[in-house]
Parts: sequence; C-alpha cells; structure tokens
Amino acid sequence: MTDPREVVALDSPLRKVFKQSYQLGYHVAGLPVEIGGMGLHGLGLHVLIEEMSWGAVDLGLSLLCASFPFAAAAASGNPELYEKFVRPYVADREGSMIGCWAITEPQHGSDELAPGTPQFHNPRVTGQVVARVDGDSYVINGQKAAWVSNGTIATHAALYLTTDRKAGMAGGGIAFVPLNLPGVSKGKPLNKLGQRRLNQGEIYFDNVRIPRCA
Amino acid sequence: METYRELNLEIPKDIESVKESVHRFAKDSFARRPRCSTE
Repeated sequence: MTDPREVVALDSPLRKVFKQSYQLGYHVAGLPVEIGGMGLHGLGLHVLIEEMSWGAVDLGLSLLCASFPFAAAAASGNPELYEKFVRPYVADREGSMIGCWAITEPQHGSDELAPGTPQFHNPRVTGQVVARVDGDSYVINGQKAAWVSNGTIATHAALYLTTDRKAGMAGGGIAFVPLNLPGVSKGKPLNKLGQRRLNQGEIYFDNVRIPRCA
Repeated sequence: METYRELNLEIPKDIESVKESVHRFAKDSFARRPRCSTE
C-alpha cells in the first residue's frame, strides 16, 4: 500500500482532486451566497456529500472537513475572522487552505458533542487540550488524537478547547486556530487499513497563543 | 441510515443540477474503479 505520507504529498493525486474541488467551488458549498458560497443547506448539502461519498467516502469526508473552521468563522459574524480567513478561503482555487475538525483527544472521542448527557457535566470527564487566559490572549497546551480528520494536511483548525476542567466537557469552547502559529506541531499521517484517502493525525499545541477577542 | 436515493426524495431542479455536477466530478476525478471482475 502507498505510504500515507505519499498519499498527501503536494504532488499527489489527492492534492489534484482538492484543487479541482476548490476550482468547482465545492469547498464553499455550505457558505452563504452573499459571501461567495453556494448557499447549500439541508437536502442540497446532503446530496452533495452523498454524491462525493459515492465516489469515495474517505475523500468526500476529507473535502467536507476542509470547510469546517471557515464555515464556523463565517457563522461567527466576527469581521476580523471573515476578512483574514474566510474571504481568502472563499477565493482559494488551489486547495491551499484546508481545515480540520480538531475534537478527538487521546483519552476521549467527540464527547463535547453530547451536551444532553449527565457525563457532559462530569468533572472527571474532561478535555486535554486546555486554553488558559493570559492578558489579551488564550494560551493553548495539549494534544489532539491521531483521529483528527485532515490533521496533518490542515492549515487551519476548528479547535475544541477546555477552559474550565471543573465543568467537565461543558467547560470549553471552539476556537479558530491557524496551524502555522508558533508552538503548533503535527504527528505523522496515520497508517490505516481503510479510508486511506482521509488523512488523519495528531496535532500538538505547546504554548500556542491566540487573541481572546478574535 | 438511508441515502436520499433510498428515501426516494423528490429533488428540486436547482439541487438536481448540483447533484449531476458533483456526481460527474466524483466519477471523473476519484471514484474507485473495480480492480477485478467477478463476471
């Protein structure tokens, strides 16, 4: 089987498909028309995802995850995030801006998505990537698991963070984090038996600083 | 989980065109070809 590093190499077939997808505008399928997206939602978005997955479910998932942080930034209504990150993403036709959904950590899965459960508020069930306030910044430390989709090829993350461990999974939030910031490093692409076109891998945060207001 | 095909949903015309173009993209760019035939 192909080495997972070759699967995501800059001259790989996967990168060419990413570029084609961006040139066709599918990377902005879920973004509003007013900001240059396709404005798909509900059934339309479902059909797009299902057709991509008909071709290859792993690659379809990778293309879908690529938009997560930018769609979240657009939905935030924050003008600085929009100008600095969403606008260039919408204009990207090279597939150079790739997002990831960084939630899973070595000791838990997507537990932040279970707010209706008693465990969500259990202080014994908490996240490992922690953000602490330092002046006008959050300082981020910790590790995301090897299961982060697009983990080693992503340029930006929708990063799930813990800010108050006493509150369990409820004590956190989501930050938009460029992955070229000082202190960010990545593991090797995960070598899997299946879904090999879905890149996955760890992301490490060592005193990574992001502004509190953005 | 059912697919939209299995649910037999009526697809509006504007979404139908998206469906066709995405299907063509997937088919031409990255859909898996069968490696061997059982026939």
